[in-house]
Amino acid sequence: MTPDDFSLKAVSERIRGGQSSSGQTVSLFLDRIARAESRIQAWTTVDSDGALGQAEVLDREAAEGRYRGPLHGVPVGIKDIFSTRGLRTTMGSPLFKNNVPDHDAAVVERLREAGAIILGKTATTEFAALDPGPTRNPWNPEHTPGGSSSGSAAAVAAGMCPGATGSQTAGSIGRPAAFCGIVGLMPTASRISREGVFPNSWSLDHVGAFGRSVDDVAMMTSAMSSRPLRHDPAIAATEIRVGVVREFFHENTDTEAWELHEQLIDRLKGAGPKVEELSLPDTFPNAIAALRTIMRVELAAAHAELHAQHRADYGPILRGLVESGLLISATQYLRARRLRRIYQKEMGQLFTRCDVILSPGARGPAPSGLGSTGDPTISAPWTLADFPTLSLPIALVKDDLPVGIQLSAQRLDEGRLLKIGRWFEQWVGFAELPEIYH
Amino acid sequence: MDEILERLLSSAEETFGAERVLALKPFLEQAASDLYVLSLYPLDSTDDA
Repeated sequence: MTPDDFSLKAVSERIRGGQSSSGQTVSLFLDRIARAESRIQAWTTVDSDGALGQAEVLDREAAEGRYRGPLHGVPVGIKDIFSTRGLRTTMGSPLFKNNVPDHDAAVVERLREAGAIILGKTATTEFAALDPGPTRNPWNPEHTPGGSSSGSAAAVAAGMCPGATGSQTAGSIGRPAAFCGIVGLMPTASRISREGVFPNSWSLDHVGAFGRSVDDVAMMTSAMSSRPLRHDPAIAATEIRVGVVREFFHENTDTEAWELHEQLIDRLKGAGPKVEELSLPDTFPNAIAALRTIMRVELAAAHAELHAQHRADYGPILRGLVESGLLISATQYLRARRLRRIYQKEMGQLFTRCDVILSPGARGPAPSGLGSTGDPTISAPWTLADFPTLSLPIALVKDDLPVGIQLSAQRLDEGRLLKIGRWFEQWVGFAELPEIYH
Repeated sequence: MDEILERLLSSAEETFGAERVLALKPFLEQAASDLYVLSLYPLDSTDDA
């Protein structure tokens, strides 16, 4: 087996082609979890018996020539803020340590309908906010994997599952994807239902996916999507228009990561795509302040009752965010929401000159230590705009840690984003894997 | 910005007690800074219609 054999697409094709059963596939990944989990701590619950039981049913169906969908028999990880029927869902909080929902989140239901097997629940920061969980980075366990979708990204990066769900309110898919050297997709918010997912901020939350390749996240997203996802044919390099933005992103990126980003743009100019220099609109300087204000207030609203009874059990960052959010007035919150609408309109105009906007994947490689999940600033403008954003690894830097890029597209234009993402993936040719993967 | 922060600190003391204010101060400073930035953008009643 080669590392490519563990991609979601390859696993799915092997099961569909009869080269492997779902039971064998689940056992393979359970074995990989058993070998790596003590070092990475990506899972809150591994449902070995449940997954093997689901595999048995799906293998019987396959033997009769019945396939539920493109993920038939494929094991996936589910971030632990997504409700799973009969399977513990902790929200990364001691308050929910024994919570066993009697229903699936809508997205989990859709994944099951597509044939996916729920391998277990992946670790999240507390309520998908900023207090870190126990997960370590598969590239170097002394570094953070990012968050809040820490366990999902780390599990995929370490080859413990071929795909996993994530969610993003500021940078919770983009940052862990970049830090863990894998592919992440934050689709447009309305594309995937958030029913049954514990909210961080109702108007900012996005459900998305992690995988080893663009094809992997496309398969996951297609299965999870409430709207049909367009599958576009391959695109020629000369048909691609890439927008690049230097203001804001330069000052929020480490020197080495920025130099790599600039080198990539220089190479891109000679590779076929048309590269357009873009200027950010007038409302852009308000973007991060608007996102943080909306997030604080909506987080406070989502936690008002729980916080009133259990504030002492909250992590210090979550508690500080909730309590500061409780003090912001309705008019201040609405001002942030109104500025967001203007920002979204103005940012949407950028796509008259390009198909995708290229930006760094994170401030730099994963920071050392587990006390913080890193800085979400670089991803936040795209989340606030609600532009679907694909994160791709591009290179390793010091200490063999990966850095990545983000490609963002117009709202609901995931089809074109994925098509261009596949071109970038092939062109960049990043094929590095952490030692723990082998 | 100082005025916004003063108001938040005063509300924090009233709502959560004086003993919480110190722990909350960094969060309130960030919140006040964000609210100040947002207040600078000229916005009239029909701007986001």
